[in-house]
Amino acid sequence: MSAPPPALTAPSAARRGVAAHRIGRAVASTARLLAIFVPVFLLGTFLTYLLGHLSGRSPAYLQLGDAASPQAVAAIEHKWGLDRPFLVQYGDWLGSVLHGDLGTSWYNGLSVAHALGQRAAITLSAAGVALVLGIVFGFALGALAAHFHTRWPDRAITTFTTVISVLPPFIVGIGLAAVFAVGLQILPAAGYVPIQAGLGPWLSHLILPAIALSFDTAADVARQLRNGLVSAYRGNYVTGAIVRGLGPRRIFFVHVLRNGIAPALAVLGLKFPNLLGGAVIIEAIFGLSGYGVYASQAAVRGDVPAVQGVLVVSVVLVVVFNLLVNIVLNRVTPDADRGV
Amino acid sequence: MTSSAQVSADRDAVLTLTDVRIHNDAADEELVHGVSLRLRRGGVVGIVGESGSGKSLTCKAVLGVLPEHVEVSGGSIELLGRDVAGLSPQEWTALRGTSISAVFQDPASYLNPSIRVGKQVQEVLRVKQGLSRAAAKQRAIELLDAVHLHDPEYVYEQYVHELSGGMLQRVLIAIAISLEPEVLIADEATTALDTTVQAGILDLLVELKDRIGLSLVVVSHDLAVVAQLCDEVLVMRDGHVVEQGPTSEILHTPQHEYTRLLVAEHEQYGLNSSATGPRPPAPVSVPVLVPEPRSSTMPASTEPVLQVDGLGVHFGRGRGRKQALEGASLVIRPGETVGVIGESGAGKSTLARAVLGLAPVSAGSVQVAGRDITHLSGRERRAFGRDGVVQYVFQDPLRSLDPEHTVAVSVAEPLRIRGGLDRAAIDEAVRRQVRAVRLDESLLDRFPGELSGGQRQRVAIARALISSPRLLILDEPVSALDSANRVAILELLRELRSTVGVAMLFISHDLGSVAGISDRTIVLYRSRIVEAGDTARIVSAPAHPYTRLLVGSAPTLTSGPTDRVQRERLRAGLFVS
Repeated sequence: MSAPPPALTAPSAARRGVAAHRIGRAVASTARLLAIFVPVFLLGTFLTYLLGHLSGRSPAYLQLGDAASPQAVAAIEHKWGLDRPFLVQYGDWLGSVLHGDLGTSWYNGLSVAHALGQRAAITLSAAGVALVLGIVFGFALGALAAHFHTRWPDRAITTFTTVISVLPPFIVGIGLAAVFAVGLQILPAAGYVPIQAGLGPWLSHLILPAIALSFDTAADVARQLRNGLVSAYRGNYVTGAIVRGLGPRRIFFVHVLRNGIAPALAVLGLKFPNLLGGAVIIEAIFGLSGYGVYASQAAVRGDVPAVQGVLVVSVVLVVVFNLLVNIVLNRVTPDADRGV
Repeated sequence: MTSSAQVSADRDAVLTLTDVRIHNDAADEELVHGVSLRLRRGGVVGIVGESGSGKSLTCKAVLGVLPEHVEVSGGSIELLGRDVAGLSPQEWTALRGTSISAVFQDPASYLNPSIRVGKQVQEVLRVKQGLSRAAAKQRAIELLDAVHLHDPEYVYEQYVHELSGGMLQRVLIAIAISLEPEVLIADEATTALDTTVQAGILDLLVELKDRIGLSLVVVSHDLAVVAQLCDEVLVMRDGHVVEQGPTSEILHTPQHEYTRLLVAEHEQYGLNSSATGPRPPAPVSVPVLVPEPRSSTMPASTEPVLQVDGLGVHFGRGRGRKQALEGASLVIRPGETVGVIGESGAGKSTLARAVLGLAPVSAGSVQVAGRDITHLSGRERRAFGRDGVVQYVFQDPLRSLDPEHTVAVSVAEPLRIRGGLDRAAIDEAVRRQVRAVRLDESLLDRFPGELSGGQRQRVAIARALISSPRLLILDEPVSALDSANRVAILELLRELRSTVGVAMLFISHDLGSVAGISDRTIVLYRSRIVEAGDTARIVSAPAHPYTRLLVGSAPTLTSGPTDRVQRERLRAGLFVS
């Protein structure tokens, strides 16, 4: 067998390095992941703490009311350690945050982490179910539209997604409650049952707020997926796969989906904060005592540690979710070489 | 052998097209007006034509992958004695890959960018032959080896973006032959590949044809590519078959005007012995048409227009540092044309960018018209550009001309940038220049999108020449053009060379174009100048192994099987060295 021309030769030394190279790549991408997470986390917590500091709120006024004497205020602030330099306070607070301690509420002296832990379950349930609904319906609608692109199902889906994407969740929520809870009386209008009480009751309380929340995500995912798939179908590699004699199902799942999914996944990363934010409003409508309600109450009261706790948890959730999305994107389309 | 339903009367034919017509239903126009051909088992049929001639559509029809709204409206296509018109989608899926397969231009786009290439070879074997994962992988590696990919296990693990075009085309050929089809369609399969790589792929196709009994349909815009391989040739233009017959007849006694143009292109600018004579004994001694010396038109001054000494350019730093050019030296005197040839990545464009002062020079110096431009500051470089001493013509005029500017505005630009001329003077200069490149003045108000490829390149040349540069850099100026325009633009450049007397640096991967215009030629190979000298000498007696491979690889109308052996030897030699 003759040797190929020089332009075609693979560097033979490179082959020995393949395994090492792949391990190196994995280490490098983990390092990149941390390199993004750590600064974002530090900046997020710092700004969070700074906001609380700048608000000028003090536990003294919360506890003593207008009758506070300067001595009493100073005593209480000293008790909470608020008379120390800002950076010392921040470092101290950050240290406890890293240990899972979000401080104590100025309002009732209870642990913020504990209160949030109970409530986050409710919010995350609602946002999680909404996320699942958004993904399932978004992907189904997007794939369907791409399959029938430029024909009537495509146009119908595009119209539908446009309509639902401009409906604000609280309007949808009120509408859903009016129809299914008040009108048809098949679902509860308000309240929350923990999942320990059974999947059925848990879901029946969550499904309406989750649907209301999911519309925006479903619409955007559907539109991005449709466009991604349509342009992936135009790729020459699809013609190549057809010519090789691969069937349409295999071409869709193995070749088209993989290359057309990236924009939809990226949008999902952007939508997660919206889901958390939307949950705050939806909780009020459906009477869920989630962390959104907790946050708004704390903010109104001037309970700075509680507000800071909510913000820290949100920052961590959003950053982690986006990192997950990026990791998935990197696995799906390695050629894009996004870093993380 | 497949179980064809009916055995056709013509047992020997694997593919028969009878008066195939292709129609675009959306625009209600016929695109292909009747193609008939007969491919016998083990035979090779070639289709030659420009883009838009209908040759690729004909292939797509045979493969059943015509675009939306385009369909076969007349005639019949018989594959292995079976009319493909009535095939269901399932029958098509079963037939493709196993009976007929294809490879195309731009191999990188025909593989999934997100899946390792080896997996894509393996996929076909698993899906179509039901092989186990391990068996399919082993077979895939065997196939990668069979298409002469060095180190197939390594290639197996790579993604598309990690391999070169030539390697990817080999991967695609491996996939195409993995199910041992009867017919393989090669649609511009070597277009846009480097000459030496193209020759390697063509050699591979010939070898596979003999070894596993493939029948080939070879489609190209280049008559020489087709002539090398095919027994029979169809020449297509605007959806019509303008000429059809045995290869030797087409080459020796072309009837149609267009065929004569295709042949003439190679006779005039290609590396060609007389098309009617016997085959040369060895490809390295092919005579070449070299421009006659033009001592009479040479200016008296011999101060070099360009002097490059020991130029080194590298990109990146640390471990990613890549040497793009090493120890390059060359001199161009006034009125001289120097050709630069080499494969992609050899450093041709880096050299051009260094001459413009745009490359990070790490060693040596570049002097243009006696001025050292090796390390200019940003301000100095802009002033240097305004003077217009060096001008540049790019490969793709559609992308190098502003689509929002009319021809007149584009051509006038260098003068306006330099300043000092009033509107009337600029207008007069533009008209003179446009006439000089043989463009009609009525085109002055057109936009690039309204011009043909050849007209656009003339505009680009006019724009480059209007500031009376001392040196004109032409970076692959004819590579994106079809045959007729390529001949015409090269003719224009030869004419301008003697009338304007501008020095030129002519960069190309195509030895034929370089040989047709350059007084001297330098050969770049892996970032180094491996050979330099008179073009005639380089072509007739190449010294470096790469140059010899390059000369032996240039597609000619007369190369034969002996050349293949010769090339294989050269490749082996280069690889060892």
